[in-house]
Amino acid sequence: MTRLALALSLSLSLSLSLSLSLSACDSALDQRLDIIDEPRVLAVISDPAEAKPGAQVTYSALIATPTGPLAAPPTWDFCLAPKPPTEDDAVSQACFGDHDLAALGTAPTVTGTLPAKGCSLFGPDTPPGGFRPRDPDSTGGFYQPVRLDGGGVVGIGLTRITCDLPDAPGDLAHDYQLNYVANANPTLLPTSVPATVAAGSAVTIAAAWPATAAESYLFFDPGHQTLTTRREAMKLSWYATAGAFPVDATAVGEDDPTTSVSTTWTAPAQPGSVVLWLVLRDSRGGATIQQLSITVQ
Amino acid sequence: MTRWLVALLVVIAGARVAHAQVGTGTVHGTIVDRATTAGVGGVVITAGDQIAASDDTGSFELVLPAGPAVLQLTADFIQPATAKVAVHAGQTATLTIEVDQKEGGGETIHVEGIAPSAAGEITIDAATARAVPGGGGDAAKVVQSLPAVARPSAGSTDIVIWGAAPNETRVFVDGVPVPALYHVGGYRSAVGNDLIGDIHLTPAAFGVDRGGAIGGVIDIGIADPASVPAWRVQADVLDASVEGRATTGAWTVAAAVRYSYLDRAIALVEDPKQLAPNAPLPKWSDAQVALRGVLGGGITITAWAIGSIDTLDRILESSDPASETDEHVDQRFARAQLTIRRDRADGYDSATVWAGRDANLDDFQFGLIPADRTQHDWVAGGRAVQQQRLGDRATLTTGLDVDGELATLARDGSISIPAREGDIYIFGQPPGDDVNSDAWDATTLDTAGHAALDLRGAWWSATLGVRADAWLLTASRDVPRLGKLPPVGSQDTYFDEDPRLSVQIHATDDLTLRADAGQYHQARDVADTSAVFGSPELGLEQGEHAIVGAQWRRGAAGLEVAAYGRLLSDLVARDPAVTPPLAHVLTQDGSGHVAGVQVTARVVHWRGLSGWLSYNLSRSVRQDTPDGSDRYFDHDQTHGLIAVGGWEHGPWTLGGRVRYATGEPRTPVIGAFFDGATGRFEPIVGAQNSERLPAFFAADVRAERRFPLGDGVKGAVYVEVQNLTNRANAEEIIYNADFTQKGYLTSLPLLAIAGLRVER
Repeated sequence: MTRLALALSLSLSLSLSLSLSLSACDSALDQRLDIIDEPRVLAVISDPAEAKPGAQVTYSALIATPTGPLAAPPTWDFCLAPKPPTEDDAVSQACFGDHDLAALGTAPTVTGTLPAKGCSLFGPDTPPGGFRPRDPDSTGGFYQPVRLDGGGVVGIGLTRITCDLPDAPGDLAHDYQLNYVANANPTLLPTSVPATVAAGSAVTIAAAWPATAAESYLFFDPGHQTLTTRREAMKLSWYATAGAFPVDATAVGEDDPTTSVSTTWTAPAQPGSVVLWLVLRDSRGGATIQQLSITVQ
Repeated sequence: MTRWLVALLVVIAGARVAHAQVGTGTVHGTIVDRATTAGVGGVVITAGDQIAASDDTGSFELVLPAGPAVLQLTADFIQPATAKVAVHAGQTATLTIEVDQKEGGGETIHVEGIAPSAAGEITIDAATARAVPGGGGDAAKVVQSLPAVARPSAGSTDIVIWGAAPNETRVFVDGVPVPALYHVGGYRSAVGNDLIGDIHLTPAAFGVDRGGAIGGVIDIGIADPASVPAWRVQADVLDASVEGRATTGAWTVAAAVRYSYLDRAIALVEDPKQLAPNAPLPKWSDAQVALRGVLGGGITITAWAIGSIDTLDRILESSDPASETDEHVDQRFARAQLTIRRDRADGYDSATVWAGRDANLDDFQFGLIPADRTQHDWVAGGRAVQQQRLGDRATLTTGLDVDGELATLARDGSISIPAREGDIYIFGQPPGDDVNSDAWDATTLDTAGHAALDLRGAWWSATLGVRADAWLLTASRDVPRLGKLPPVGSQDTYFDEDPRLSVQIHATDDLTLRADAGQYHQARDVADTSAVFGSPELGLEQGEHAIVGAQWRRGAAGLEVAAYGRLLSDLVARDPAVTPPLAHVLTQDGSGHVAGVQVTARVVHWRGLSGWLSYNLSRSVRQDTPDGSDRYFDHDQTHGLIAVGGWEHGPWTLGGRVRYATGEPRTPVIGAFFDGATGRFEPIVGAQNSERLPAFFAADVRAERRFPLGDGVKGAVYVEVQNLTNRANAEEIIYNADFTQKGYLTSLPLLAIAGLRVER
């Protein structure tokens, strides 16, 4: 049995070296988005967060640069290309061509009318002749995409559009139409951080939102053919122009009543002004932004 | 002198088989002493009513009816033993049989027959297969090292044969279809190890006795229970197995069980979920029991049951909780079969019944996006075969196959999970966030009759065959669930007649030219019959195969050149429309074609050396729509080179394996955009499958040392070193968070595994 033990010991140690090597592979490419080292879209805000096709919607975006928000206004377009069900991206690849776009203008904030055919292009409504309705996201929602180009970066915003439930039994579809409440953007309570911190110091940042920010909503469960009430899950993304966060984002599940999250930001070693952004997203496509500034000495 | 006298009598008695007969093949063998590799004369070899004896050099020759045969080896100075061999009409099967002489104590023999009978076809006995590096001593792992089989990705259980997709190749155990050859993670075979007798691969143009596949066929043969050790215990870092055998009268039963502990071994030091997020550490176990009885009148009864269980739990953590992946996999299958076979002087009759149960569960969660699939199947079938010699120039083989599957399925989540062949898939990209749900039943019933006529002339031989299948395909929902409306199902019947032809020209004693061709059909996967995620009315996929080749064989050496082609049509493919018809997300508009050349050199037990060197040049392309453009098949590998060698010398067995393969095609990322809803970047892709992974190269070695432990007990210690050059082979392209940088996920570094085996 001594030989057996020796053999197993050898195998075990070598297998562990294998595992360690594999885990090292992952760190080769940066998977983090928290530190802004080049211009990047951080959030696209649709106001209201959800509306019926044909309604007016105002869009704004936060495009961050290593020195702060980008001043140049982006160019906005509605994308009118529906996504094939086999594509994994949130929107069709055609949204990045020159066709299938409806211009909204170039400005920090633009207002446009949601395409009237939104529930046909991006929702469950199908043309006559027996076509497959589009599938909703995991919260039952359908979305009108809007594209923005600014500072050399491209972003996509999504406005949740209110559509009917063509695949549900009539009574449930009726109840849904009567009782469903459209999503509203969440809000963040004011976040306080010290105005000045020492280089390399750790700063606790706590973000909180009102209990009403995580809304309850009616959901049609296609598997059980029932209507249920669910609560929005929340995710807070942490961004800064310098320093470090332990994680990119902190999530609160839909069954968790928590209304605040916190993290520790480590100030950079070099003195200077740092901009931090907190982006709170709800699971139905709503979002809000809060900007903070800290001087590192 | 006694042994030589016995041999002389046997040779005289067996003189009637000295000439080749129609519908028969020749078995040319050499019996050698395992310890000294010297030829062993005077051994009596019987197969049915045929008998021969080995000469001074250990050589013998038998002419046997085409089909599987079992050789019984007896002599008063060796351990009785048996060996299985596949006999093909008009062909010579060359094999070497090792025996243990009684004075040395010992165990059973094993066969080292690797000579092909059809172009590209190959049979490997289990003992040889276990010695091939890269398999960790697991016999069926040799499939991944065979000519015609593409180099698999690390951890993959997919088997790609001559450009055919994994789901187009079918795996059988003694003629019974099984759902998987390998356990999850690909570390071990799901059909066990200790009771495996041989492994047979037919990459294309297989005979009429196999159906339901448009790619290749892999046949795993269960060993004669009498030929396995009385008991065997084996352990290494991955798992441990125990095997035992008992004999009562004419009946012999053997059983084996294997249990893995790799995850727990790793967990002694680190949390496997944290330590190796890209290396799945599943749990697996399998068990087999086989029974064989030889009755009077040439009747043999065999029965076996096999079972396999796999589970895998993994969490891929992320700095963004919306990107965390949580997956639970549970896969199980069981099969049992009973066969009765009667060997006659002019052929044989065989009847088999089998049944089984499959249960598969995959709970996957990517952030908020679910992708859950469950499938439970009852499967059953039967096979009946009769072979009859028709005079001196013909043999007729007829058969009837019945193969049924009753499946209950449920699926929730994104339509793009799991990814299909032909999907544009960027490794690490989150799945589509549009989700749905469905639960349905589906049935596949295939009843097939087949006949093959073997003809032989002075310098030629041919096999004319036809397989006629009648299919019944049903699905419980023709359209997606709509309110409380009762489901309306679909039921379709299909009939096909698949001709198959093989012609051989024996140009010289050493050189054979041959051509093989055939038409093949397989039913759609029941998992594709969802009215929400697939199409209930999918039918049959079709393949047409052709191979022309030349085989040269002299003594222990052989050389084969084969040019092959495969035309595929009616393939199940995605409907690329932005708004596909209701219940028709999948179409049968796919097609494909494969063309290639394979050159293989083999040597069979020449001074203890066995192995093969094979080069494969292949091009496999697919078309997803009738008017679409060709794209490379997802697993296309233009060049594939593999060299496998094993050398036995006394108590040592040394093996080596070298592999080179072109990287598989991938779809490039040409840009990225920010998704404001999720806060993630998503890729903008270029032309499908228009770039490739870097080429793969790896060298592996294996050494085994056997030693006696007394009282007939033998031990063996083996060490296997994989990726000897520690080359970082690319398995996937990976990107940073905003897709501006790319790198490679690399496969296993240098890895050594040691194990111990004790048996009697």
